[in-house]
Amino acid sequence: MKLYWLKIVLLIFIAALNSKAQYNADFMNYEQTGRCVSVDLNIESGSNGMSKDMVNRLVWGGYISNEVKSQSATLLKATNNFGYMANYGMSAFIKGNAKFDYLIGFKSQEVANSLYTKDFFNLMFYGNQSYKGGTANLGNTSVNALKFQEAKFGIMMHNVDSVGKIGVSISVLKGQQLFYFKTNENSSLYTSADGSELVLNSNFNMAISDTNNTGIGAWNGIGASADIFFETIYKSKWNQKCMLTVNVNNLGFINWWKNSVQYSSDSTFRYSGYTVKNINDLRDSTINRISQDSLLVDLANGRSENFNVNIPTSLILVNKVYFSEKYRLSAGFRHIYNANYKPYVFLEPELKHKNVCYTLHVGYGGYAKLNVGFSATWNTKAWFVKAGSNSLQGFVAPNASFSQGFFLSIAKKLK
Amino acid sequence: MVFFKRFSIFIVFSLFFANCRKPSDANWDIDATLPLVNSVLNIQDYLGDTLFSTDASGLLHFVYNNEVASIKLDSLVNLPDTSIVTSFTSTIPVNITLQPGESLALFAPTEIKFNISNGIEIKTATIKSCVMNVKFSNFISQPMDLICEIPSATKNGKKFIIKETIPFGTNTLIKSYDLAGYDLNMRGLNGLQYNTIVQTYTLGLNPGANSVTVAYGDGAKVEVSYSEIVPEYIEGYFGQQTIDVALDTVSFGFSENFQADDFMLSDATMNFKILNEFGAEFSASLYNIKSINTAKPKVVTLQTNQLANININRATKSGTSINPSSKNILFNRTNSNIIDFISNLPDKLTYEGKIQVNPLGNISGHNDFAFYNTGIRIVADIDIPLRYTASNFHLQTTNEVDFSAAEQLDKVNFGSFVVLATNGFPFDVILQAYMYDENKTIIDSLFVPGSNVIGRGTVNAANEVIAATQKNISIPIDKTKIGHLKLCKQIKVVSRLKMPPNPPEIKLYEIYELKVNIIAELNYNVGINN
Repeated sequence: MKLYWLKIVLLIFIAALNSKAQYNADFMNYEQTGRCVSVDLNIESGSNGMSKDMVNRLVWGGYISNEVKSQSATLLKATNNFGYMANYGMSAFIKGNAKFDYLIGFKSQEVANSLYTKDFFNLMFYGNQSYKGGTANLGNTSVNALKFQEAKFGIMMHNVDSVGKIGVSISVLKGQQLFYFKTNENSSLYTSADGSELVLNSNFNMAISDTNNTGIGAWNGIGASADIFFETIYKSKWNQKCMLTVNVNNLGFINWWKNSVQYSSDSTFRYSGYTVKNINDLRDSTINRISQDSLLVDLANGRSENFNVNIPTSLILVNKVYFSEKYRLSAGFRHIYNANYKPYVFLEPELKHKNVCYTLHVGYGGYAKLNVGFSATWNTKAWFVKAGSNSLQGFVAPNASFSQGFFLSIAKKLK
Repeated sequence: MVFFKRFSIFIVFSLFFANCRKPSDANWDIDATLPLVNSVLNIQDYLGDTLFSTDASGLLHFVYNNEVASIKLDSLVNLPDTSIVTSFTSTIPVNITLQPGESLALFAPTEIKFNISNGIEIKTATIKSCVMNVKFSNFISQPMDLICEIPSATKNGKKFIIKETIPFGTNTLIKSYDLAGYDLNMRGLNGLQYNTIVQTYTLGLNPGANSVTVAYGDGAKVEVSYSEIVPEYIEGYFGQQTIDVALDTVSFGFSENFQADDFMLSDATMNFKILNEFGAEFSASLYNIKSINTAKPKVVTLQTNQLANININRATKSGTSINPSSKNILFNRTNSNIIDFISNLPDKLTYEGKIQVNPLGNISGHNDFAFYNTGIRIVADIDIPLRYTASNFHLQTTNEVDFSAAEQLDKVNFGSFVVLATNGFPFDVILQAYMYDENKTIIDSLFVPGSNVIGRGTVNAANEVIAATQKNISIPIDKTKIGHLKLCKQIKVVSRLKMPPNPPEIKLYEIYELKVNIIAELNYNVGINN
């Protein structure tokens, strides 16, 4: 009994440190786990304009030196993207009856993504001094970051027409933190040659949840989402067994409460400092007025009110062909809406040997164009463990590649 | 059941580990350029709230118009505190028995005369404030009712009346009464006296008392005192008194924060406007008028013979509306040393004098008048065209500051504040600012000596600016200076304005200005959560 508990604790510890199910989809392993209790973690990040070092520091913290910034600066194109997703939680498929099982789960999700111009990157990480006498293009830039937790309830109908599976779940979401910023085409910042004037074409929208309440216990909004899953086995025209899987998850929204603030601006804002009538009367109030908040108030029309924000919604299509019991090939498509994500296509050849299945992953799109990954699945009667990465290149060549990821699912099968 | 128990434990562990995920503290340094302050300063801004006007040529004139001295009603007429004791006793040489409600006697009216000095004879007065304090004593063993009337004091046509029941004993009732708003007829019983009011008393046994035997000499006593008398209006004859105007000092228009070296105005005029709001004639002499520059220190006495004998006519009135008489005395370079007097840039003025009231006697027939808060006022009206010779001006201000909570400063690594100045004045501006800690000790300065001069505009042969000049001044900032800024509790800004060689005289025109932009060029630490 003690050994059993030790295993459980170890499972949670590993999961909490570094992993979650591939594609953040609870239903997709059901084919192999059946009823089970599982812990999952999935972390993936990528960018086509930032180095792995920079992404890691942005996500995990630390000082970003000029050297790290310059690695990314060489990669910049006119527009670039960046994305980070981390989710971890636990779920269980519990016995229902002969046709369906219940799903309950708890999960914490973090999403941060951005589409940004080269000038936006330079302004953010180098400042506007190098733009003296010039204009930085800030158009069509967006930053979207949110954290939320969910409690999930659903059913898995595992015997639809004897071979099909349909899963549906709904989740109650607790909004923890939101930062949303989006500029439109004409947004720009001009810095005069002598630095005495800034001209901001401020065509933007911005939303921020309560900045005084940001921890995991923060409850700044409430929402709902749904996951939908469909899987069926069919025979190809070459009489091969195939399995088609369609999964939609995080289809929903969060209503952020009144202590959240929205800003919007569509005007040209000239700023040349605060006007002082007597140069001999430079009080601290002058300096203290020059704060982020006061600049924002000057710049934008801020208002505290409830508002809804759609959460990033993921669509996954996978078609798996069973050439034999040993060899399989999956072809898939993935897209994440509201997340600055590019449509992603992938191939996954699999080799199964005894209880272990080895899977290669090659994909194109997403946050970082080309991805190469590998995973291994150990599947016994009692346990299911799947670990891997869809972006191994970030670990192999950190300075040359800009994505990385890791996923881990550990499930104890139930009767 | 066992499953749910284990599952609950999973949740607890999950939440525990979820909390271990700390927010990202990613941070980096940027080179930011941010305009902080912009300012267009003309000479008015330099000299604070001082008033200026412009003449047809655009030359600025310093204008000062303010009351420098005044004599109010209380200096002219003083109604002293006055007390009187009145006894009401039986004058019948045998015992008499008083029944409840029966009067002891009707006592004859009495007069109260106010002892007003300097030969002042008041006919009527309206009281702004006056307290009438009364101590009542009753020497008859039963409570007595006393009715006191002052027929001389009326308010809205009604006499002032007191009705009190006095218990047996000495000073058994002490009360105060407010006479504010009453008109006093001060002509006495026969209507021919001055400074005198009339009062009457009636004493009787209280209707609720028992009958009592009153012996010869028994009765009551009242002790009345009038104090804190402030008239709203008085009328009569104010006497032929002489009022000494004691040496007094008043603040003057120039700030002590403004100083100049070798300063001499080209021209200046000062008009003393003397306003008489009293209904009486005056003659006056003023002397010991000095301009005092406290900072230098330097004193210049006004030399003129115009103030030795000033005769001022009486004001007239229509109802309660006063038409003051006025007299103007103009000081200019031909009849005084007014230019030296003003060029001293005084922050204080002194004056002394004598005023004689009614120098011609009672020519109004007791019709002098005065209202509360009016009097003789001396208003200085000064006009100074800003055309002068000087070598330097000095301006300094001290401001209380507290940057200790300014978190923005903590994130500055290094950099500079850049002062971009366009100087359209005919003088160099040399700037310095000193930081003082809470012990008033200088801990640092802002500007680098030698690199803190904003050169004057280009001037022609008449010392008139024909083109402004530009100058950039850099104030280096590092962690040490930021530490000093956070400790700093006061900043003293000192500006020295260095004039071009003169003569010719320097003229300050309305169009002259100094444009200043202060820009922060800072290496600044920013981050996701800071």
